[in-house]
Order: sequence, then structure tokens, then C-alpha cells
Amino acid sequence: MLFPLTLTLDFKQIVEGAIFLKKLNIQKFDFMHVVSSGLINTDTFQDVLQNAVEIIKQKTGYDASARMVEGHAASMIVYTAKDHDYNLIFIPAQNKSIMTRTFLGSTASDVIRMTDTPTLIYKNYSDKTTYWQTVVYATDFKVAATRAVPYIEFLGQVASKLVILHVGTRAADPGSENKRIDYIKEKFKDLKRDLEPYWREIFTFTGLGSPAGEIRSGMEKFNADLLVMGRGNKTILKKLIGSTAERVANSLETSVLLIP
Amino acid sequence: MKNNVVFIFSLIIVLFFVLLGILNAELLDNVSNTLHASIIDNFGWIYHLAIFVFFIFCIYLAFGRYGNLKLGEDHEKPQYSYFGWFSMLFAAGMGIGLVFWGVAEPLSHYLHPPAHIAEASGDAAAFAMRYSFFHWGLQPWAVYIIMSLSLAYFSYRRKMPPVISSCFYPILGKRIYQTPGHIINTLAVLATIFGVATSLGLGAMQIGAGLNFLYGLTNSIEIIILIIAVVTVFFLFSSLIGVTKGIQTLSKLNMLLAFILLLFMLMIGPTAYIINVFISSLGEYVSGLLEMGLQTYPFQGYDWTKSWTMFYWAWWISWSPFVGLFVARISRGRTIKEFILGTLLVPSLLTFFWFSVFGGTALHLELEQGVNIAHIAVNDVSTVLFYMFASFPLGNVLSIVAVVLLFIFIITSADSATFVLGMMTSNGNLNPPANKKIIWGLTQSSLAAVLLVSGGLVALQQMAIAAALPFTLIMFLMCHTLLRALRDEIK
Repeated sequence: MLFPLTLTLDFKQIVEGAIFLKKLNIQKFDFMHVVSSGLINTDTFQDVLQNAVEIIKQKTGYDASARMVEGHAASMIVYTAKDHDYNLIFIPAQNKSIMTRTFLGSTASDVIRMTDTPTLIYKNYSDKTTYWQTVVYATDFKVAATRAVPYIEFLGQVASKLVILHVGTRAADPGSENKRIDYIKEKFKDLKRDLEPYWREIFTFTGLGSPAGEIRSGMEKFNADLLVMGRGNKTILKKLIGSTAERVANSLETSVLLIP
Repeated sequence: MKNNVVFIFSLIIVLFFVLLGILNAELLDNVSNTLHASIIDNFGWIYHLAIFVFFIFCIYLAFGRYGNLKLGEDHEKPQYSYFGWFSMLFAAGMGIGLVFWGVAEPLSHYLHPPAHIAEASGDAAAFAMRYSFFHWGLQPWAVYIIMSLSLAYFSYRRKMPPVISSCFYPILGKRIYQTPGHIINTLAVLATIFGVATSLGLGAMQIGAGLNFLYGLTNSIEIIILIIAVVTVFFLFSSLIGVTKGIQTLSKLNMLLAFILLLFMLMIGPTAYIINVFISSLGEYVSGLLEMGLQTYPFQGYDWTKSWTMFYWAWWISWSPFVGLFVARISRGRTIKEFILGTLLVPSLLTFFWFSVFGGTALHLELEQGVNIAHIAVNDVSTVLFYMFASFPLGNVLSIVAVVLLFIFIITSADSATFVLGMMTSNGNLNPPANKKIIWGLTQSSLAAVLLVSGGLVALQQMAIAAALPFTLIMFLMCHTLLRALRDEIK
């Protein structure tokens, strides 16, 4: 697992994040820090990073290593994850103001947009290090969403309640709408049956309209701790205005696991 | 009551305007003037941009992957022949306006173009023709297409009631049968009745002017009301016998008469000059489509754009529920591509030719023969056509044909409107009950007559134009819902 970090991040939070990852059966992870190209004093950064890794190793007993690379942060994270076949990118999200997010974006958003590696945007970890109780699985029943199913099965070991959430658009006429509703019911039934062996409780929830908005209200309604969703191929429009995954990851106050 | 919500509420609002027009025409005039001026001043650019977007949207739909979808079941055949279809399209969409403005508009632009063009010059004449094409050509038809295509698609392919609210099912769901849907349909009824009553009144005034010109008959209010009464009897009769027998027969007759008039004028008028006007204006129009589509002349003469272009855009949008519903009604069984290209190109080309023949002839009289006809157009729009005919052999015969044409055009417009109003207020019944058609027919005629007497007819026209603003938003949403539904279907 790849754990990109900034040296401005609260060190206590990094350690807590690392401890939390143990619950997910992570065996090994690499800390990574990206510095801007051309920075002269990289040795100092390397020393600070190495010290941090040593402390983390002592406190958590992890098999951990550290690497420092130069370049654009998000791009380097994405390339490193791809080149070294990491299973997961773990990004401890920093709270940025809405202005900063809108005009400058965030490394997390850039990584989500570019990567093909499953990514966990970890939020509020200082409050909820001990457990995840409710996980929401947002699905449109398409291929991209189906890729998240093995992760959902696994998460049944660390959380107790699963909410399967579907956000659709209303069909163009009442007859087609009824058919759409029947189809969703059928899909919910199949999915519930497949996931029942892994979870104690499974609920379903449907929404109509803006996927990002409906996912947010579903998350609030069930007081969920984690959102899991697949991320499909990007259309030109989505490249321009950002995908649902990006919008949700930016606006939710809970953690988000995105499966490309 | 539940099934007649739109009918009752629309009728109450229309009666309110009739009463206001009778009791305090000045107040109606002031309110409508203020509303109209502030809408055109502040939101005119929205109309301009919207019309451009609608046009591009039509092109996209015609040549995109949805073009082969049928407005109806896949096996359905069109109900009307091409001639019948084009005749009805033309009569409902433009008809009477073309007789009214065919000569007057080019001459008005020629005499009063925007500030950057010299008045009464060759440039002004070329500008006049190009902008007459622009105001009556592809863009207005694109507006009608958005409305009619959505209605036809949701009604015939998605099996929903043929009312405007049906197009909003993807957004509103079952609320289309509740208050939001009723508001949309009521707004459509009001825009239709205000627009048609205005046209009825103005058309009757032009017939009166023609009769006055021909026979010296006093162009008094009483005569105009008599004309409205006669028209009412005819259009109610036509409306009651149905679309196929009534409107279609009259429209075909109209087309025939219009064609004869057009051909005759082409032959006795300056033929080569007319053809030159047609091809050069068409060339300028086509090459300037993008420029005109986005040009509002903010530096050179914005007042001209407001009083002509934006007025027209608002007028076409306010007419769109009526024409849209009617065009949808007669277009069942055609593919989206056929529907868009047919509706966009054929009436537009006919309109261009009409303007070239009548406007071109008038400009020839003015520019080449020194007949001072442009001033007449500016001073009295309704008589300029007859003055022009007077300059040619058999001028009186031409004027008589024009009066008959006007008369039939009014009947077909009012007839289609009565039919559409009946449909809109009976939850989209394709064969609306006779009593509703009679009530709406009488209401629109009395509205026209009453406001003609009290002087509130122009105020009513401005109210219809004010209704265009919410309708522009409604039409944008229609584009969205239509695209969503089409995408769903292809998926």
C-alpha cells in the first residue's frame, strides 16, 4: 500500500492512520513524499522522512519503507502506484477551504482523477480510528460498480452494517419508470443475496437525481463512516466538470474508497 | 373539477384580462409596457442566445444518432401527405404574419436600419432582406421544433398525454399531474390565447384596411368587429368538423392561393430582380447565420435589435406552445430527421421566396422606379401591401386575393388555436370536446374584439411576449428532458 504524506501533516495523525490500516490487513506500506522539482535541499527532507518512518515502524510494527520523489505530487503518486503495482493508495485528506478546493483543487482530487489504483481518501481519522460501523456501497449496477464487490465483501470483517445505495434518473414515461423500479428491486435482491454471508445487516436505499447529492444525503441518513464506489470510464464532459467520485470525495466528511 | 383545473384557471385569468381591458385599459397598457420593456432590456440577450442554442440543438438531433427514431411506433406511417403537412405547417406557423409583414418589414429595415448603416441605401436594402430572412427563417422554426418535437416524442413514442407538462416527466415525475404540471399548461394556454387574440385583432385590422383601400369601406371599429365575427363563425365551423376535413382543407386552399399570388407577382413583377434578391439574400443569410445568430449590435444600434430581433424572438417563443402542439399533432409517424429537416427547411425556403417576391418587388419600386412606398410601410403597416399591388396591372384583383388569403389565414390560425386550446385544457385529448372548442373560440374572438375597442390589443401582445421569458426556461428544460429520454431509448 502506498501512503503519500506531506511533512506538514500532524505526525500523531499519521501514526493513528497507520494503526487504523492494520484493521484492513495491510501487510506492508510505503511512505512517499513528493518534493517540487529542482529543490536543492532534498537531503534534509529525506532525513526527516526516514526518521518519521522509523518511529512509525516502532509504534505499529509495520513493514514500512520510505521514498522521496521529485515532481508534481498527484502525478508522482499515480505513476509510483502504477509502476510498483500497489494494491491501494491511502490518502489522509487534509481539510481545505472550499475556495482552495475550487480554484486550486487538491492532490486527492487529482489522484482520483488520474489513478487506476484503488484509493482510500481517509477523513476524520482522528475521531474514528477505532472502528467503522456503517459502510455505504454506491452502485449503478454497471461494470465499474461491480469491481467494488470484492472490497465490499472484505469490509464485512471490519464493519457491521452495509447500505447498498443506488442513484438513478427517472425514466421518460410512467411505464418505463415502473420497469426501472422493478429492475432496481431485482438488482438489490441479487446483490443482497450475494453479500449476506459477509455482513450482519444489509439495507438498501434509492435516490433520484444528482448522484453526488443523493449519495451525500444517503451517507447522512445512515450516519455512515465509509463510502465505497466504483469509478467508470470518463466521458469528455466528466473530464471537464469532474466525475461524481471526485465531487463526492471532495464534499463528504467521511472516508471514501474508490475502485477504478 | 380535477380534470378541468387548467381549463377553469386559464378561463378565469383570461376573463380577468378582458375585464381589465374593459374597465381600465390604461392600467393594462402601463403594466404591459413596463413589463415588456424591462424584459426586453434585461433579458433580451437570453432570447437571442436561446434561439441560437435551439437551432444548434435541432441540427444536432437531425444529424445525430437519434435521427432515425420515429415520432410514433416504429411501424407507423405519416398521417398526412407532404403537401398537406407542409401546408398546415406553413399556415399555422407563419401564414398571416407573412402577408402582414412580407412587404412592410423589408421596407421598414430599409428606411430605418441600425445606426451603422446608411438609411435608404443599397446596403440598407441588402441588410433589410437578410434580416427579414433571419427573423422569419430557420431560427423561428427551430423554436417551434423544440416544442413540437418534445411533445410529439413524449406523446406518440412514450404514450403520454399530448400536453406540454408531459415533456417534464423525467424531471417532475407524477407531479406533472399536479400543481407544477398545471402551471406549465396554464402558462401555455395563456400564451396561446393572448397571441392568437392579438393576431386575430391585427389580422382583422388589415382586412379592414384592405377593404377600405379596395372599396372605400370605412375602416371603423364596427367593421373590424364584424370581420372578427364572420371569421369566428368560419373557424368554429372548421374546428368542429376536425383537423382532416377542416384545417387541412383550408390550409391546402390557402397554400394554393398563396402560391398563385406568389407566382403571379413573380411574373408581373421585376422577375430577374426578384430572383437576384432571392439568391443574393439567401447567400448572405447562409454565410451570416453564425454572425447574425450571435450579433446583438451592442455598439451600433442596440435599440434596433431590441425593437425588431428580440421582439420577434419573444413573439415566436410565446407562439411556440400553440404552433408546437399543432405541429406535433400533424407530424405523427415521421422520423426525427425527417421532421426536423422538413419543418426547418421547407417553410423557411418558402418564406424566403415570399419575402424576395414581395419585399424585393417593393424595394424595386422604391429604389429603381422612385415610388415612395417605404414611408407608407413605416406609417401604416397594414396598407402597404395594397399600395404595392396598385402599382401593377390587375392590382385590384391582387388585393382581393390578398384579402381572401388573409381571411383564410386568420381562420386557419384561429381554428388551429381553438383545437390546441381544447386539447390543452382537456388533458391532451386528441379530439377535444366540442363545447371546449366553442368556449375557447368565442373567448379568443371576444378578447380580440373587446381589446380592440378599449385599445388594449397591443398591451395584450406585450403580455404574450412577457410569457416568453418563463417559456424560454421551459424550453431549455425541454431540450434537457428530450435528450435524456432519447439517450435512455438508445441505451
